[in-house]
Amino acid sequence: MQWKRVLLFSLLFLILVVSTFYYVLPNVLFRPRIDAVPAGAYVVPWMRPNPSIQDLLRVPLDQLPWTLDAVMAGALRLDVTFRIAMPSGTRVIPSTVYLGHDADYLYMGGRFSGIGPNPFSNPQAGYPDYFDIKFDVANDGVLTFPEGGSMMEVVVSLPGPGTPPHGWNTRLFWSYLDEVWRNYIAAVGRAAWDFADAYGMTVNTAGEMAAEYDNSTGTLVIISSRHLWRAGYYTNSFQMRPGERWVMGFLLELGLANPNNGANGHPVYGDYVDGWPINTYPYLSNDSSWWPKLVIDLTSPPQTIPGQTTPGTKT
Amino acid sequence: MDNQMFSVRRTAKNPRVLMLLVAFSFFLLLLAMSNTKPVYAAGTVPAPQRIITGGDGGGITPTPNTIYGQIESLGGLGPYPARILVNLIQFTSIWTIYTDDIGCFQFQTGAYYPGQTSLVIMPNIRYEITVNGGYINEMGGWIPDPAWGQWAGYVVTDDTCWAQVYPRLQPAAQVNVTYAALFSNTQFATLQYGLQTTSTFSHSVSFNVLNSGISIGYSTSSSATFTCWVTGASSISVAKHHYANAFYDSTLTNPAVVKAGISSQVPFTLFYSYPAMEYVDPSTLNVSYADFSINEGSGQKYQYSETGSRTWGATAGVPFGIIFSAWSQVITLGETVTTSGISDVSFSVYVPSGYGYGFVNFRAYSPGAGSFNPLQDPNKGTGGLELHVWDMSGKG
Repeated sequence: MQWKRVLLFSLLFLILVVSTFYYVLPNVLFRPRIDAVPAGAYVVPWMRPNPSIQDLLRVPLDQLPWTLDAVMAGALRLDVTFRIAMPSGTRVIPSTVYLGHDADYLYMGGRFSGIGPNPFSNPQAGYPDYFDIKFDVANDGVLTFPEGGSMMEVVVSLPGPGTPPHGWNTRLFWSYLDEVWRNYIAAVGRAAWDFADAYGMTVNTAGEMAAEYDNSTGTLVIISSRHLWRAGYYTNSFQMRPGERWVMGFLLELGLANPNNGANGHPVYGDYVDGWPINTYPYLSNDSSWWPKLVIDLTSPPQTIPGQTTPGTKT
Repeated sequence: MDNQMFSVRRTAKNPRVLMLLVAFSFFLLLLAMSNTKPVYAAGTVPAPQRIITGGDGGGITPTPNTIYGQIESLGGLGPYPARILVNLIQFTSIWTIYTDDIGCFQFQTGAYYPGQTSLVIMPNIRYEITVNGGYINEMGGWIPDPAWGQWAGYVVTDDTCWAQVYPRLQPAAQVNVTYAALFSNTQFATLQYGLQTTSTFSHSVSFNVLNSGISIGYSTSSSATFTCWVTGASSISVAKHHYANAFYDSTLTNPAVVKAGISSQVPFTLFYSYPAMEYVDPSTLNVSYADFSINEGSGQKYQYSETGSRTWGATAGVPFGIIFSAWSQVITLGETVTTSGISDVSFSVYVPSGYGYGFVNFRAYSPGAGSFNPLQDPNKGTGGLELHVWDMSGKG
């Protein structure tokens, strides 16, 4: 009878250990975050760009361009008019921002009519226009390290040899930059948004990005994806697991970078920027309680995701 | 001692002695109110006296037991670098203060310096002064304010423990540190060039000084992990603004810039692009390159791994050297780009239809480490962050 007791005890112990690893730990230590959706929140729908961003990169830039309305069909649309004040006057930029997601990526798009090239650009250097989304990832109304953000910058080359003054610009450079909120930055002596790579972090959320620019109308079109979660990368707090539903504060900014930032007595924050719902540049307060809310819901994946039916070769 | 004290008491009670003392004191007072200037130690007063805002308008009134200074900028927007660190060093003691908003500073005997001992300024002593740093042997390394250079010199007090000094400080230059470059002469073909993170890797740019007599200082490297795309028929370099700093040592027999380098990225700067001039002749290449043809109306994507190191700089004859001026001296830095880990570089060549060109022949070349053979995907060759693509057909 003694061995039966030992066997029974071992069996019960084994069940306890296994359940601890497979149930208790994932549900207690790694409990999925499922937020309640507040009234008035902007819900990001399930969708995929069609064609994929990878395919958009194959479209010759001097051919007929892709239209974001079609590529981001089914996405959340925010119609915003940005007004960027500059010494030479105010650029009024009617814009549409598109947001969608699938299980892996948040897709961000924007069409900015009349933004024009960066006013500091010259034949010796091209400086970027940028579109920026900042997230209060914890949604607690207070920014704390390392809240996430995504900045998409595009350098529009001025018309010159090889670039027709009208039509689609065929000389573009663009880049995705990951952002973090830092509780203290020595260069400015306070908390502020910073670039992840400037902080020594790996840019861990970049997916794909494509851009086009119409010389005739000064219209910039951007589409980009960022990983919702990447295994092994935990430096950025925007790491959303399957089965979760997050509500986050978010803020939009459209800007023109100033190359004199921090140069020889110039202020560190010197870009020309407007924001939505209001312009707060430079954002130095950690109060995000008034930010609009964005919902990404991964709890119930649809059978068929609108848009591109196969992910293709997205990175 | 008792006799002396008794004697003093008796002297003080003597009216004539008392009158003499009062007269002598009055004489001293008149002397102090006169415009008599103290005698300075030789070589310590090279600059004219400045007017201090808020003073009596008559310039500096030397105050005993004080070392006064004002920093003069050698360029930049304002004449003075405001709020910059100044150190007074005597043996192993260091007193540190910030300048005021117009670059003035002063150390005074008995003043309290946070975290340090109280200062006693002695007569006829040579003190070291450093600006925007610490001890002299640390200058050219870490820099508190990367927007300015560093300076070191001496100041000698006179018999009244007074001295003044006017350090001339150079603002940091903002220079382009190149991370990637694309050269293309194809007007009609559309080219995409991507650096995409597929695993953990970083691009590290290390620097060296090409001037003799100047050693590399500050951060000897800068790294960036980035994802970017360059497209279109163009030749451009992708860069970020960095501070280029120098340390001028006027304590030497022949004062000069002795260290130079890159301290840090300019805060909050994005990547930007600038045109690059093609410097490679595709017809004379004697290293590995790739030839391929694209039919009109079609295209192809190519990939290769980017790893190893590649030297960019004036000595290599490529247009990526960093050149800046400090204390009227032209300083040239070289760059070596090293990739740790592996990243995938991809480029695509698509020839639009409608031009009637048929097949277009291209040649691609990347001067990175290893063999460059992007046509053998997935067994990719290796290359660097510098890519050249030429239309060899002369059709575009």
